[in-house]
Amino acid sequence: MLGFLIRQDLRQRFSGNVLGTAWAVLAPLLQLAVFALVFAQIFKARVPGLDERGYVMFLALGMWPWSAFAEGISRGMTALTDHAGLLNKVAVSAWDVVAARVFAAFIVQGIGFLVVVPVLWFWQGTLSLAHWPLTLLSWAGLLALSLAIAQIVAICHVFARDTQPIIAYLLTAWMFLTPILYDPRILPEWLGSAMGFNPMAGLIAGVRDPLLWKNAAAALPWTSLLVALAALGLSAWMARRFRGHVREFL
Amino acid sequence: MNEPLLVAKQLGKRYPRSADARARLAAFARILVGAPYPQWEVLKDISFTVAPGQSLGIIGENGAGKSTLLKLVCGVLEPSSGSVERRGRIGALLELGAGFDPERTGRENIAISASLQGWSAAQVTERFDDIAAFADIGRYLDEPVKHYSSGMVVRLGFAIIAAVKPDLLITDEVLAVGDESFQKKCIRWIEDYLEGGGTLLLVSHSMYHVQKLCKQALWLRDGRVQAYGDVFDVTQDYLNFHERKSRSESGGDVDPHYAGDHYRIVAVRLDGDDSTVPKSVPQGGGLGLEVDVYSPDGRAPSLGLGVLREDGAAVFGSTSEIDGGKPVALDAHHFRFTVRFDELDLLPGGYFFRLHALDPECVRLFDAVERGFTIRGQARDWGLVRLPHRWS
Repeated sequence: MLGFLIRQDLRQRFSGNVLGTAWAVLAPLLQLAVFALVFAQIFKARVPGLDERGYVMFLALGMWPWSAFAEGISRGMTALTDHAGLLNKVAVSAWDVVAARVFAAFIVQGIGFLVVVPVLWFWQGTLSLAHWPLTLLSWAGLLALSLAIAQIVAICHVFARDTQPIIAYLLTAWMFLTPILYDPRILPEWLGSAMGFNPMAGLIAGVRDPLLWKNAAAALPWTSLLVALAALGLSAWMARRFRGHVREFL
Repeated sequence: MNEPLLVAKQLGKRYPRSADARARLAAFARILVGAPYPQWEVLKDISFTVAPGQSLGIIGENGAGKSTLLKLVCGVLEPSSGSVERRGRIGALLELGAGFDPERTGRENIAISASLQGWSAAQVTERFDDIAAFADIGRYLDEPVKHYSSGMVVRLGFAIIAAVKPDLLITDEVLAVGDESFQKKCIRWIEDYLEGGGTLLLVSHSMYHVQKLCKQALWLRDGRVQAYGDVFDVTQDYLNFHERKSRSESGGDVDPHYAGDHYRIVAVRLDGDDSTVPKSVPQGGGLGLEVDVYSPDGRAPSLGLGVLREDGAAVFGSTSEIDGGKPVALDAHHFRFTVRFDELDLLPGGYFFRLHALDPECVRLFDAVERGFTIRGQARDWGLVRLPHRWS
């Protein structure tokens, strides 16, 4: 059932476009071009130890995992209210309806990632593939955390539609508080240590660093992974608590 | 093998009482900490079983909780109390276009619905032609479902269920939406399905459909089981209840104890039955009419009698004076007219008698009482009556 819902969601996202699924490849390339122009050329943003192209690489390796995470939450959040009709007529699990949105976001952004990374590699050539399997664990952590938060806010959204603007604001703030556009090493001491409380800092770095730095410490973001797992547990508890109360409020 | 497909035990369902933004937020907090919040009871203590091959009709007024019960049975909703056990493959046709995506074509929706029923792509392709043939909506199959009429949506939905051949078929008032011919097609399909050992749970306001398709019935009233058992007993109770209700609402259209200054009809019986529920008569069948009229002065009154179609079109009218019909005196003030139509060759549809108490001179008209009856049949000709005719 989950697989079916994911396919439905993907089809829904791409149907009605003239270019259809080609957008899955085209959109990330266009986005990459904008990043390169705006951040590297106009803002002249840099990361210590990397040149202009290196910065674009740095940015892309952090931006796509973040987009997957954030899109999973923002689209998962409205899954229950968007599918009110389905949920009130067909015996599908509310968990699956939300999860399908999150998985679809990860598939779309994951494809973007897989498109962008080789392009950057050809362009810049300093991609480090030695530790790439390590990124998978961080991707899994991102997925778990996105899924957990999506499940929780989706339930909140059923009860209070104010959830959507609040979460949209929080996601933007969270993005800027996560080292995606900048290197964590440039942060002042107090802010740098505060990053320890941001599980996304660890997870984004967990995806980016093994691919970016040849001598990247193979240290996994264990704390962030544990936080993601705990969040998943919390969302499962919440989903169980609200069983039999969600559809009734749709 | 004969384990029941469905066992509902003391099923109950509560819905949130109010839904303004503040109440929703308060409910959210209370659910989160596991505290109760304001709810009202939609269903209470519903228990029944459906064994393989059984057919159960669920009847009740609007808002009695029928649709909620079906949603609990299908697993769309979680019960607030009690439990539902399900076995076998359940095919549910709840409301219009359940699970259809209005933006997609009928063709795509067939694939979607079939997937929701757990079919593989190969199975969908294999049975696609059967579904398309059953739905019979022609070129609309390649139009988005949002362009469909409600009847076409039901056609498509039913065609899919018919192809799925579930162990237990659950339908909610959908037969009422399709046109006559599609209704007949569905009923024929359900009859075949039941004959082949299928099991049915049907919600309907049509006692005709319930009696035709179900062996048992459950009458829901205000969220509780009012009666549960043989279909004819339960539906009869239900119809009688409604009759009493409409009588008490209208103050009763005939007052058997009337003793005023006017000529008045005090009782009407169709084939000996004084209920106001329309009698069902086969086309060409007979129908007897007994009308008791009160006479204030003890003189034998006259009776006006009309037959009209449901829409008010007059079919036939006469009076006891024209026909020379004489009433029988029951006592000093009551007279009984007896009329019999031996062959009512009216075309199938709804009709009613309109009766008037008249003075003995057949000049003054005092009241009007109506009694409906339904002519059943399969006639394909149209109009009011079948006029005798010959082709050469």
